[in-house]
Amino acid sequence: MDDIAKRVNNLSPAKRTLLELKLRKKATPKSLGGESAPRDLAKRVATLSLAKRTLLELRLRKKAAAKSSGSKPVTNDLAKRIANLPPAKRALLELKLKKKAATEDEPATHDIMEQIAHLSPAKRALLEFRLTKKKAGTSSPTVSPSPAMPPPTEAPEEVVTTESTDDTPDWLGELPDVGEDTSTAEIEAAAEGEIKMPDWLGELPDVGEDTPTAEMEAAAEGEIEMPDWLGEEIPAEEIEETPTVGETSDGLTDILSEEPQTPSWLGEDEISNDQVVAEPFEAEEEPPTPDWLTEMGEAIRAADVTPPTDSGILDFDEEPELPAWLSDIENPDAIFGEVQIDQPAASSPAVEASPSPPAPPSPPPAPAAGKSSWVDSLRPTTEEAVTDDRDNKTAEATGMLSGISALLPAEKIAIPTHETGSLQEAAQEFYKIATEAPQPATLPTLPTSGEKAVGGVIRSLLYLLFIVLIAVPLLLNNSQAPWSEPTGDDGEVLDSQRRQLISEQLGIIDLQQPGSVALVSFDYSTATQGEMQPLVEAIVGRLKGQGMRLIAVSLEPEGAILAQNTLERVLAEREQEDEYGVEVINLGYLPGQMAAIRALVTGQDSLSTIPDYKENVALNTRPEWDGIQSLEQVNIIVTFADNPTTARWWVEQLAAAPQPAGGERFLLAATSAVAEPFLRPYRDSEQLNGLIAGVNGAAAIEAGRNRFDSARQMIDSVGIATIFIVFLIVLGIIAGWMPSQIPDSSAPESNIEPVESAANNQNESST
Amino acid sequence: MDALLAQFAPVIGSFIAALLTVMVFSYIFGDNVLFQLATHIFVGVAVGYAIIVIWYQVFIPTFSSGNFLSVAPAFFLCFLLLFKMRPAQGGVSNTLGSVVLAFIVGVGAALAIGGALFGTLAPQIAATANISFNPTSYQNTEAGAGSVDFLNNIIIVMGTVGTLFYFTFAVKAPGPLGGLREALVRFWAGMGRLIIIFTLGALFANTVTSRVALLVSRMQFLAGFFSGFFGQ
Repeated sequence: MDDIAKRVNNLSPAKRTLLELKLRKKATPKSLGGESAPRDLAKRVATLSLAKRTLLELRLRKKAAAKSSGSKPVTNDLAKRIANLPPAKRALLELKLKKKAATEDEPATHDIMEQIAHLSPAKRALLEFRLTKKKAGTSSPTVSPSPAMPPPTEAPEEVVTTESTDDTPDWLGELPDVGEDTSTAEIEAAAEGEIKMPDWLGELPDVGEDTPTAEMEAAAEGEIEMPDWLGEEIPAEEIEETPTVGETSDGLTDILSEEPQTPSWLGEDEISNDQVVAEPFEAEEEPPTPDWLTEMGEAIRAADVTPPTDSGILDFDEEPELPAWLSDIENPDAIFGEVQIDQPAASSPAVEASPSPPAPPSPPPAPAAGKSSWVDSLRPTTEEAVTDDRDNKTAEATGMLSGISALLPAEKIAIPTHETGSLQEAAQEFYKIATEAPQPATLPTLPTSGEKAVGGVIRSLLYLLFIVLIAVPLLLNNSQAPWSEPTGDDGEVLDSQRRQLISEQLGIIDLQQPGSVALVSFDYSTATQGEMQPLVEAIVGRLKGQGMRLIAVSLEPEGAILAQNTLERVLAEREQEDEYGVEVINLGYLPGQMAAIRALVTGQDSLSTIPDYKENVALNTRPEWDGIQSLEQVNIIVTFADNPTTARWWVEQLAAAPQPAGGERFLLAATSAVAEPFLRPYRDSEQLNGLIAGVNGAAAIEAGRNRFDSARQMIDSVGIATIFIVFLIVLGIIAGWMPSQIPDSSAPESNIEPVESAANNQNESST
Repeated sequence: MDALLAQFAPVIGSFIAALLTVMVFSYIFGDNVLFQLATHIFVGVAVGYAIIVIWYQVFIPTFSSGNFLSVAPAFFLCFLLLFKMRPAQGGVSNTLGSVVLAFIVGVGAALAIGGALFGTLAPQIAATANISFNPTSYQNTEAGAGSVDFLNNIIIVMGTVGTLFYFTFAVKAPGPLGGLREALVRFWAGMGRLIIIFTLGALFANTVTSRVALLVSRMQFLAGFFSGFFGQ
């Protein structure tokens, strides 16, 4: 404490006067403890309480730091560094230690050197780390554990367990626990000053902040106000919460690391002699102790601060009496054993002489509580971490996987990089296709309106040509035979074939006795009437010509009227109109389709109870149809079906029907040309007793009757239409084979790659 | 009046039919309102006529039979079928409608399966199995030479077997027998593929012929109509 007195004495008269003036400005008529303030500035400063004096020194030091510039030499020896501290900083450090010791009811000491000397190596390393961190902030952020770091002294477990952690400041509480690893990134961040600053340090004015000259002049004129932090008393709560030495990490290390230097503002002759003369200096009068000093003293006493011992040295001999904020560090090695400190420890002068070798990077943090063990197993050791950092720069830096670099990123899994050959090429091609952005589909260009019009005209002309070709035979053929039918020997052959066809397919009709009953089912609609009607009329006429009685039914609603028209037309041709209801009857529509057939076949529905379509009279009321009850009395069934399904219904359901009592039941099918291929197997297996289809079948029947009716009239048109369609199909196939774009012969050949050569190239590349 | 109507009804009917036919043929020049009108008239007339036929052919004879109790269940089911008029409905009404549909589908499936099994599958298998591979068993008849029938049956057998092999999906089994099996399957599958191609071609040709016949029939009607209209 004598240093400050010497420094004040060494001040120039003007500055010393200014300092005294500031002290007097704050002084009040109240005396501190009834003692009169010393008129001599040195005495007055010496009589200040320790807190006030320390703060004053700190203030002086801040001013000096604001004026100073350039880097200061850094010493690695903590003891030397502290010894080289200016008195203000050393006093501040001592004050902090004292405050913390006071909160722990421990004897405080005024000698910072002795306090630090009595610290355990771990705690001393902590302090040294804090001091170094600020200095290293301007150099390399990498820290390495000091090889000369002495092994930390194990703190007594009593202290660890009994000390409360309530006094631990927030910024110290954020330090990793002993069982918690500190990653390299966190340590580096801490070295860069990213650790949260304590509030009491953050509230200090900036060291680099310069006090303006005007403020000094105002202070000399008595207008300046003392800073709040200096003028106000320190409440007891704040004293209790005052950070300890360990908390002086950032702001305080700035001060401690700097060389002691006389404040420039004190050295400069900024105050003129006139100002000094204008303010008469009452050197002989002892100013009364200011109130703020008195209040501060009371506040310190109220905070139950243990007064310093006579020797002014804290008693650190007993380890269990360490403060709680230091004892909370259970295992200093967990923190500092991994910390790379550029400078050797203070207790290693040999190492201090030689620079520390570059230490390996710190290993990744150990698993914290609650993390999975398998994740810990993936975490590399120190050597592995070094290798991973060199080989793989994508190691996780945060989260549970921090430090684990063995994890493959997803993009590296998807990209084949090591395999060669066709598989690799195929994989790369697949990756390229899978990862490329979807391209819009290449749609053919829409034809223009002109092209549409031309296409429509061509299409319409083809249709018209087709219709004209079809209509020509219908309009111009006035003969009694189609144009396409051969004459002469060929005509005889054709007639023979037709007779053979009718004999095979409709021969069963010729075997029927007159008066036998035929059930005729009209299972086609008006849509296919044009094709079916000639065939139906031909067969009905043949049945009627055989003298059979006809019962017409229909599985389609439209078939009822078609059946009625057909029967009437056939009867009209034969001039047998009065036979309707006697020899021919139309029972109309039978609902249920396949179920209706089943009902008729099994006898569930009786034919005799169904009213006819024209007169709505049932068969059982007609004496001509007496004895006709069901299909058992029917000798032949003929289905006129325009689709194979309906005809198959009859075939399939009749297979399960009982045979008629009077003999065998026959089934004929007269279908469209579409249904014929589907029903041919049934004819081959003789499930159908006859099958005749299409216009050709009807024409054969007409030819057998030597008639030139509608079917034979259609033959020529159908033949011409078929030839024309075949011609168009062949023309379309030839057009499809032609290339859409004829390659330009003047183009270079390299641009036109033959298909075979391209395929060969592809095969060569794949192999 | 009735005599007059009966005299001119065929003429009016023929005129309307010819007009509608020409309207349908207007599709040659693209889709147009005449074609759309004709198709809509055709659909509407067909549905209307079907309703009338069902009413007079099904409902009235059933009600007039006097045995209402025998047909009451059928009419009750028909009434429940009305709950299916609106598709988006749930709860009891949907269930009631579904019961009727289930009944219809069930009966139809039973009839179809029974008919297909006893009317198609068993007879066709028996017919194919009765094909003789002995050429001497085929005698010359008026319908054709026996050799033709023999060749036709051979084609039928090969086509049937080949078509079945074509739809055989299996991987090559290991070993020499696996290779032999693979070769046989490939041969018969190729044969079946050819048979399928020819069959589809024949079906397409028959379809074209059938539709051309319909067109020719309409043209024949128009030719007759205009011939009679202009007094030829």
